[in-house]
Amino acid sequence: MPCATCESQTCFTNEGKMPVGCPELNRDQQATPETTEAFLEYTSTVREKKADRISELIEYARFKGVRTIGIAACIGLHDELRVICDQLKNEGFEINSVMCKAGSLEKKEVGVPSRNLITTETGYSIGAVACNPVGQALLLNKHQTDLNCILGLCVGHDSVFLKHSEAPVVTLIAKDRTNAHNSASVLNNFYGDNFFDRRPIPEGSAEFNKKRIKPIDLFRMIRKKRRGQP
Amino acid sequence: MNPIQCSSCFKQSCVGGGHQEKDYCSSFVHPDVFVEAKQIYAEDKETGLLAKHAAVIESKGYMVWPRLKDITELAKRMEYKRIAVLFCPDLKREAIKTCRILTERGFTVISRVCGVSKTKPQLPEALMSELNELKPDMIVNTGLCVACETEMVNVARVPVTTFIVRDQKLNNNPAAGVYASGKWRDWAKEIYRDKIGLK
Repeated sequence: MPCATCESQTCFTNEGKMPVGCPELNRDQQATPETTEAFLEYTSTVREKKADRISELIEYARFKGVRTIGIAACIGLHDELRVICDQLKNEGFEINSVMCKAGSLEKKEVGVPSRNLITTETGYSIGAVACNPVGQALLLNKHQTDLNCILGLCVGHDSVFLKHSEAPVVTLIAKDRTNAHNSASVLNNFYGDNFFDRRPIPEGSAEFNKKRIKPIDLFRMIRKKRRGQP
Repeated sequence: MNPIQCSSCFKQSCVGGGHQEKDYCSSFVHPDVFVEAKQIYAEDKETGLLAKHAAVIESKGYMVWPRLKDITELAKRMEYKRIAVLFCPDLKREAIKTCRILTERGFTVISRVCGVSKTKPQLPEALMSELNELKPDMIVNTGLCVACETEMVNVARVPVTTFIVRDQKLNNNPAAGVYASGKWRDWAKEIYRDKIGLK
């Protein structure tokens, strides 16, 4: 169902004809109008306001009558968590915040191989303690939060937390280590296009790069000279 | 029951496998919860595999791979083939590009706009049940607003990951609001005082 390639967005603009095979055509009219009306009014007013993500969250929490908010955060985003917690406390919510390393589950128990344990393959140090999204979800379930927020969880842990939490979940920040948590910037960027092979290689560049000496070969040449070998 | 406050903890001894003897420390007050969590990792196959592969991917592409690469890598390792892309009509340009990139990697992509339309309005829960019938293996969320996301994502049967967080004011970059705030600047001075040379 290719909604991304649809040119006439009749479902939103109310102009033109719907394309063949559109799922809107087969759908019935709204089933329960009383509950939908309030929700639809709310969404239409929010779109016109063009609000911030966090202020949008506060507005939604007041619309739903939420008292306690749970935040599941990554340990790398502890400073961001403090700022957001302070802002939400000033608005009058009760907040439970859990870091991802709580409970200190070991990586061996999850089944991670030993070469990925303490240092990464790119040369940074991460500990032998794994992230624990199930523990975060169960803790927030125990404290009976009305709404849970994700603040920068990794890709897989994100979906595990969603699966096990009882309260509805919102993401506040999607973690992206290379782009400073601005994950959409990969799509609008020359280097992002280069990373995903979206750019054609300029003419003659492949041959030009072949002729050049690689840094490893340079290193080997210098080492040979030092040893006195020809 | 005291609320859990990891935000006020600065020692972070759980990284080294320990805990603090305080009221707010969760691993000291509720140790039984984490024993229960260990059992779930062992018993539930999907969560165990997801947690394992996420940890491996973190160590493979730490500080090198962008988030979209992480998502494709996870889908490869978990052997997912059908991926559904959910998006808002305001983010159509981004959604087209993600769909193209995912199809080039060899996945079959189902793209679907947010369900709260003008012509035949319906709750997002009902739309999610429509999507469940198509049987995707994974759902990638590329920009939904707060109200739609909470209603939609909880009804999904398959694992959901977010790629883009929608933010109308800050061009889909909600973290920028944190870094621009006055409190962040005050705290950043405290943290980096020695390195910058401020007094």
